[in-house]
This record gives sequence, C-alpha cells and structure tokens, in this order.
Amino acid sequence: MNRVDVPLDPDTVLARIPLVDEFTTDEGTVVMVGVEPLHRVVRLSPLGLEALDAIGGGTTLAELEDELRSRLGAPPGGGLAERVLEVVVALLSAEVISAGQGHKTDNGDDIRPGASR
Amino acid sequence: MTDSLLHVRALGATVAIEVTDPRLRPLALQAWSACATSPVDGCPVVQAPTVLPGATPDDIAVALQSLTQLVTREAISARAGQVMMFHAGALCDQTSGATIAMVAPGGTGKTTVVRTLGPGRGYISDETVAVADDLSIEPYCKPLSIRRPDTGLPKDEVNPVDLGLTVPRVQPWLAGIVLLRRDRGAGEAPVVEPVEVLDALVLLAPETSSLARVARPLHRLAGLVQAVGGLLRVRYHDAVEVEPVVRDILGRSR
Repeated sequence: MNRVDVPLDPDTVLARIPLVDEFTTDEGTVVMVGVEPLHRVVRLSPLGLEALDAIGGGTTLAELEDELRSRLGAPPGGGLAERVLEVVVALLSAEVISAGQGHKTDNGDDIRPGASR
Repeated sequence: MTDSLLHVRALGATVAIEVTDPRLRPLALQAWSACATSPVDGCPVVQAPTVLPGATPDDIAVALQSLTQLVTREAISARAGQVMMFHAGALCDQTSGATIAMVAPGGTGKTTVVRTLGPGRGYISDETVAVADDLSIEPYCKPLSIRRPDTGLPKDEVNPVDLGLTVPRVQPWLAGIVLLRRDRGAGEAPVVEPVEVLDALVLLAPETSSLARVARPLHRLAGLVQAVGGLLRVRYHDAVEVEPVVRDILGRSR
C-alpha cells in the first residue's frame, strides 16, 4: 500500500524511517532512505526538516502539530494545521516517514510503530 | 581456464566472458577487444546468452546486447562499495587524463554524445563510469550499443575502435561532471547551468549504482561533486552542441 494511502487523522501515528545518510549545508538538507537498489534521495523543506526532527521516535499528527507550534509559533496567516498536513503528506510520499494507526492496550497505552518494546 | 573464456577489464574489475557458441564467439571477441585483458584466476564469470538453432542475425544481436548488460552488471557488482559509479558516458584528454563524466539516464543520448565528440579523445565508457576517492577513473571501454537507424532495435554492439574511438593512453581522472538533458528544440541555443550541491545530490543519486553500499554516501557524493567544481546541467538538442563544455573540462589541470 502506498504510504500516503493511510488515512490521516489527529491520532495517526507517524514514525521516522531510518536514514542511510543525511547531508546539510546552509541551503538545506538532503536525506537518503531505503535499501539497495531502491534508495531515494530527498531534499527536505525547512518545515519538513523541523517536522522530521519533531517526529523523532514516533508521535501522533496532533502531537506533531502542537510540537511545531511550540517550536515555530503560529504562522502569521494561520493555517498551521494545513501546512503540517501538507508537509506530512510530502514526507510520506517521499517515504521518509511512515504512518499507521496506534493501538490501545488494555492499559490504554499506545503501541507505536518503531517504538521499543 | 578454457579457450572459451574472454577476459575483459571493466570498471577496475576483471570479468571473464564464457562464449562457447561459434556463432557468437568471433563477434564477441571483436566487440570486446578494446578492453581485453589478461586472465585473472577467480574472477567473476559471465555466461553468454544461449542462442537457439536457426537464430537470425537479429537474435544474435540481441544476445550480444544482453551479454554487454550482463558484463556491466557483474562489473558493477564487483566494485560496489569501493568506487562511486555513475550512469555516464566519459571522454578524456589523451595527454593530461582530464575526464568529463556525462551523466544521463539510459536511452537519452550518452552514446551519441560520446560517439560524436569522442574521436581524438580517450574513450572511457558510454554507459558506466567508476570514480575512486582520489578522482582516478577505471575505464570501461565496452562496445558501444548503437541503435539501428531504421528500426532502432536491436542495438548493435560495436567495438569503439571501429567508430574511430581510442582507449585512454594515460590514467584518466575526473575533471568535471555534467548532467545531460536533451530537452532543447532544434535551433534553440544550448544552456549550461550550475546546479547547487543539494540539488546535485538529488539529481545524481538516481544515476548511480550501488550508492548505498558506499560509506556515508551523500557525503562522498557531495565531496566528489565539490572537488570538481560542482555539477553542470547541459541542456542541448544536438550532440555537437556539448563540444564547448567537453573542451573546457578536458582543458582543466589537476
């Protein structure tokens, strides 16, 4: 299934896919993901880079939006939620992150993709 | 070792080609003579494709084309993780060894540019270029895969010498790297434009082989691009329009 086909809602769990390499200059950042021969090299937007850092080991879409609001503040024209959604879709399309639905245990704890057990 | 083995030097590796079919063998020997080398025990062996009884000349041509692809694949596999490999044609200056690598996807003009601008220069490859960390280049003087003017298919595997090309007489080294884009219309002036390093990584990565097998691949690729003064994108219509760029890069000194 295409990763973008995962329905995105505030509870969608996002996780980083391990990077093969990352190269940064003053102009931005390029990352390499995937395995041979299907590796991909993707240039990240500034917001994409911030989102990737904020996603860390795993977070929900709602938590990501909160974290980015905390880091960057609300954009002057508003619309942070839409911008976050756009960047998440872009990162999913590039397969730099994965998305899935968290599962609740009997204790109500989230089990997140990529989380250590 | 048997007489049916033909050893060739490809991207710094020695590959043995086993050709037993008497219909293929003389053609393979002729096509590959520019990179024939001494036998090396234990080197990888590529079996020439099987040709059925009653095969037509087109069937033979297809088999030889497949053989070239098999040798290339084997050589790439042998050098994976050791050198940076690009889908590129390359030519060198026969005195200084300065080399231009012209990167482009398959079927978009590498062979035509090499064939057009190659006479008088050293022929490195029309397909794959291997670059070491010190920028030295291992030639791969493979047969050129020439599209037939009438139908286009199958391609003929032609010895570079038969096309007026010569093997390098000195050690080639990477002096410049360009991205070929044959997207200009007839009569439109060619465009040569620098590509910023991050974009260069995004554009070059799909035209590499086994990039992820190299340690810190993006850093290595960026280092290589920066060491030769950055990537240039050459947008053109006719192969001859690439000549000034080739001349400029082959005029560089180390």
